[in-house]
Amino acid sequence: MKVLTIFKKNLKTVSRSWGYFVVLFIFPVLLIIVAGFMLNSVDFQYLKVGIVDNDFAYNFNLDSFKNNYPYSDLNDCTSALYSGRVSICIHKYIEQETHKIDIYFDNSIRSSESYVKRFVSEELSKEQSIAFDQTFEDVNSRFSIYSSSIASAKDNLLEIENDLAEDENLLLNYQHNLTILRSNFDLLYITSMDLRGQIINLKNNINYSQTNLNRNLNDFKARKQNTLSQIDNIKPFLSERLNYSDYLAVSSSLDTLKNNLNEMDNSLNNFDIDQINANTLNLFDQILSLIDKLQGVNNQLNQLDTDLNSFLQRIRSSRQKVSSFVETLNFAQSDMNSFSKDMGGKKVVSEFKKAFQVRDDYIFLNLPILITIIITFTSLVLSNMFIIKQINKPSFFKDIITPTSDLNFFIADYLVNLFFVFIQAIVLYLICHYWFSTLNSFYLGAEFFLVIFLASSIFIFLGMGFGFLIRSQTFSMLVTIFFLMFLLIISDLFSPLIISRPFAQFFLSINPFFILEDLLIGITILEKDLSILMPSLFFLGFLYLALFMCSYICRKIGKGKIIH
Amino acid sequence: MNLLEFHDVKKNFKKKEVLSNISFKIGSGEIYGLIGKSGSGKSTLLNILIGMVGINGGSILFEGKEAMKKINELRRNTGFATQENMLFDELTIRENCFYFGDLYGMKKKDIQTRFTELITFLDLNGFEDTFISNLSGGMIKRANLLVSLIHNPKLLILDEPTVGLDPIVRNLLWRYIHKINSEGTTILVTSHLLEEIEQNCHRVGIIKQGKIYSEGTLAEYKKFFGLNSLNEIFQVIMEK
Repeated sequence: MKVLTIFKKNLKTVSRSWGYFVVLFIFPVLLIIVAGFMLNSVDFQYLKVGIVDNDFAYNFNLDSFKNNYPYSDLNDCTSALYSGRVSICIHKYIEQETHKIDIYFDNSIRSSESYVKRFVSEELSKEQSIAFDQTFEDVNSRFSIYSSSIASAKDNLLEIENDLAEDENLLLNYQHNLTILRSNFDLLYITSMDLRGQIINLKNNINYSQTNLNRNLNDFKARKQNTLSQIDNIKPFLSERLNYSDYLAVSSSLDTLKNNLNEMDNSLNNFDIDQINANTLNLFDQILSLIDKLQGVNNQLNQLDTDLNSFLQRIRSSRQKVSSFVETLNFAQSDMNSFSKDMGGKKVVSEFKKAFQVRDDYIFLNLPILITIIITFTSLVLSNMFIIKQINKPSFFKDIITPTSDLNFFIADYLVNLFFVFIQAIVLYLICHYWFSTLNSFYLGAEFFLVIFLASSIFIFLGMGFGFLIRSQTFSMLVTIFFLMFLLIISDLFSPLIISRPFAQFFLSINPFFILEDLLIGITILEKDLSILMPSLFFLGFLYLALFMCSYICRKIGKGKIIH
Repeated sequence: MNLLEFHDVKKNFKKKEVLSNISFKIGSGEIYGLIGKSGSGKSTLLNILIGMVGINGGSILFEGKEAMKKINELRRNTGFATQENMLFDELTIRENCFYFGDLYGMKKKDIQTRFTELITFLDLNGFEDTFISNLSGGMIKRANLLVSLIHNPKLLILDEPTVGLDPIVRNLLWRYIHKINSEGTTILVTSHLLEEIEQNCHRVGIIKQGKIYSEGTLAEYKKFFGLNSLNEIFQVIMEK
């Protein structure tokens, strides 16, 4: 139990030094309070903004910036930026009909650059988003109007199309009736045309017959005269030849014949064949005129049929055009709807969403880095101080000449440093638990202490190693502090891991400072499960063993130096 | 009977020979003074005795037994005090004693018994629970002696024990050293104050360039060199 004896001695020697207590317990609390105060005082309302407004048409909302300083000229504003009177310059102007906003910031101060950029870009993004929303709504409402106009036009066109369809049906009915009429007419017409020929023939025949008749009548009259003359000539002959009675009989018959012939002639004279023929021909002419009119009707019917067909063609063509236009309108409407939807879809709202449900509290979010700095600094510097203080005292010599192995001293030294770091870790744990309401479960508490144990041990071994190797208090402290700075530099304090080059990422990934910070973020903020932290914990475990060995070897080397 | 015997002990640091065929003996119960110039090998010799440095040749016998093979045995039988305060300032005399007693493998009861004896022996009664930082220079020297003797060593090595003390305190300290010696503890003392060595040591060894140049009682030295003081003898030897 020599380790315990040495541990107790170490504990007494350290605990009886007020300086240690101040460094161990008061500093961490003070550090967190100061950090909390400093971080809590961060508010962008204190950002001094110089504004050069050369674009009054565009009303950019600057309400977020409380401390505004108007400048008439950009050079004045940048001069103010240079002299520190303002922190950023916002220059509003128009270039080629485009509203432009240039933001000038002090890029020589890296720490504030990212904050200012983030804040201003967030504010601008909000403004742009509002402007985009307004434009989007405007375009959308116009689209809506156009769309409803198109719908209305489409409805009207559909009505027209229906009317045209009705007209077409009506015309088709007309065409149908006309066809029936035509078929009936055609029968009449054909018959009349046939009749026309016949009538013409008849007319010709009548004319011919009349001519013949007249000739025959004339011939008859001549023949009658001749006959009458002959009768008259015969009679004396007959009277001479025939007895009287016979003669009387024959003469009476001849007289009767003569009378008959005269009667016939009279009848024929009374019979006005010319008149009749003229009337007939006149009738025929009237019929022919009627037939000619029928031909005119036929022509008109033909024209009507042609016109009707043409009209139907035109109605069909109009219907097709209307239908095609309705199709085009449908396409346009659907395209507009689709465009409107697409426009909604293409509305790029670049919003930063928080992937994890964590409090948006600067101090809370900086707690892991604060704890990491405290633990790293304490472990490294205190262990180094402790060892330097020990080895530079004659009592160290008295220690090593006792029959007690180096390993006992080494472990006891390590344990006493670990003990103090752990007391500090308890203070930090209580701050985390009661002040920030984190590490609320036993599991998370155990994870916290396990991580602190491994990481602080690594830093203790490093601090002890430096202490053993370099006896000069000043030089050793300088080396330790430079090493601490080295750890800070290759951490992600200056260059975030996610955007570092692969080789830098490698250095980061093996930096125990960074690993501790990363693990503490995982435990205190994200409350990660142990299984997720395992790879880092295994790596810390490996470092623990490796540095234990290295530090022990350093003790052996340091002891040899002291003896010589 | 000799408590400690060096036989042709050699020690090299790298290629430099620091101790060359050192041979001398320290009798049990005697006060042996070892003197020499700075860099003569005195400290190396003491470091070998306290088990901090090994040897490259020869042998060291402690009570007739090979000491280098059992370094911890040698350490248990050796007490060591220097001109410097080797105690922990933040601890009391008692705490220092119990701490070192424990490191020497003593039981608490034995430490308590030995502590009680020594506190009286060295006239530190009433200061048991005083922090070392609160003690005067002389008391610190005594406290150092006390702690060095807590494990009851057979050999007490004192390296420049009186440096920085005024003559009165120095004489007082030597009284205690004699007192310790009278209790049976063999004492090996180194000092640049040759008068002290001359007055208090039974035998004196002079080391020069890593070798024991001569050793003997003061009378033997005076007789051999025909000189009256160790200081003169030392001067003659160093000039040779």
